Amino acid sequence: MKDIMPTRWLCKRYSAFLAAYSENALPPKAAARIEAHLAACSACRDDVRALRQVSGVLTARKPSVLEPSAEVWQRVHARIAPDARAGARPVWRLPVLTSAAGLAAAAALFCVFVRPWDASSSSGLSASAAWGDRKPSAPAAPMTRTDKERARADIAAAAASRAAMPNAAAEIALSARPEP
Amino acid sequence: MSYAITRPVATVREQAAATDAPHDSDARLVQRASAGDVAAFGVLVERYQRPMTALVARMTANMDDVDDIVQEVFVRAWKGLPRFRGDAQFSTWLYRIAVNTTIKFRSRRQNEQALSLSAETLTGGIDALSSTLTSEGGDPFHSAQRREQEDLVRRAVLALPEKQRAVVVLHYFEGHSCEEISHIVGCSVGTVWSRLHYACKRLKGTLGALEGAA
Repeated sequence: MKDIMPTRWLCKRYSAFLAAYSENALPPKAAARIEAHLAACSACRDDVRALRQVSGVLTARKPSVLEPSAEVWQRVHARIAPDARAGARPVWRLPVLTSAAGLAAAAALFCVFVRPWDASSSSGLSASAAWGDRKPSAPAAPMTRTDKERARADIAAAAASRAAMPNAAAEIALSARPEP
Repeated sequence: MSYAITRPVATVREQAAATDAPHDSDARLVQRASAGDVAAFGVLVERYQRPMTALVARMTANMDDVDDIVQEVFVRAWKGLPRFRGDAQFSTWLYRIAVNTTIKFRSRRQNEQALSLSAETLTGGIDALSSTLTSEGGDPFHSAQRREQEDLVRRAVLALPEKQRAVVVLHYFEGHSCEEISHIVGCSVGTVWSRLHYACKRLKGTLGALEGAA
C-alpha cells in the first residue's frame, strides 16, 4: 500500500522505528515501509544518519571497564552474614537457646536482688571468700539485734523456698518477694 | 579508591571449592542462596561483580561511589532472593536492581556537581569524533586522544536523563539487545527503541554543540 498521508504525520509515526531501522532490527516489511518514507523525507534521512553516527561512536568509544574492588565480597558478606545466621538457624536449637537465655537472665536477677554475698556474711561466711575481692559499694549501717534476727529468718525462708523450687524461675519469684 | 586487576575473593573460592559451586548454573545457585547458603551467593557475587561494576561505573559520575553502589546491589539482591520467583533470568533481575540502585543513589546526591561539557575537550564535535575511529593508530598520541574521547562520550552519556542513560549504557556499552533491556527496565521494546532514538538525537546535539563552540 502506498503512503498517501502527509509527510509530517508519517515522520511522527515512524520516528519510534528509526532507531530500530538504523540497526537493521526491523522485520523486512516494516523496513520497506520506512525506506519508502526515507526516500521522500530528508529530515528523517538526517535522523537515521545521525543515529548511525552516534551509535557508531558510542559503540567504539565505550568507556573502559573498571575492575571490581577486591573487597566486594568481603563487604557484602559482612552485611549479609547476620541475616544468613538468623535465617539458617536450626529449629531444634531454639528451645535449648531459649532455656539457656532464661537461665542466664534468672541468674543475673538472682545476683542483683537476692545478693547472696550479704547473706553469707551475716551467716558467718566471708563475702570476699565467696566472691573474690568484690566489695559492696558502700558500707552497710550496723544492724540491730532485731534486724539480724529478721534477716536470719528471711534467709532461712529463702533457702526453704529455693529447695522447694529447683528451677531458675523460682529465683525470680523469690527476688520479687515484698519487703516485710 | 583502588581497583584490583585480579579479583581475589579467597573466601568465596575456599567455600565454593568444597561444593563444586563454581560450575553450578545460576538457577541452582539462586535456589541454594534462597535457602540461606551464603557460599552459593558468594559464587553469584563473584560471577557478576565485574559486569555490575562496569554497568554502575558507566552510569554514575562519581567513581568513588561505584564500590558502595555495587555492594548495595548485591545486598539488595540477597535480601530480595526470597521474593525472586524465577520468571526472569537471575542476571536480568540483577541488572534491574543495579539500574534502579544506581538511579536512586544518584538522585540522593544532592550536592553532586553539575556535569559540564567543556569545549576544550574536543574540537570538531561528533563528526571529528566519528572520523577518528578509522584513522587512529597504536602510538601514545592516539592512545591519549582515545582516552580523551572516551571521557567525552562518558560525560555526554552521563548528562542524559536517567531513563535514556540507562538504555544507552545497557545497549551500546553493555551490548544488551532491546528485548533484554525491556525486561531489565520494565517497559516495552518499542519504548526502548524510542528512548535510544531520543538519546541519540540529544547526544548528537550535545556533541555537535562543541563543534559550534570550538
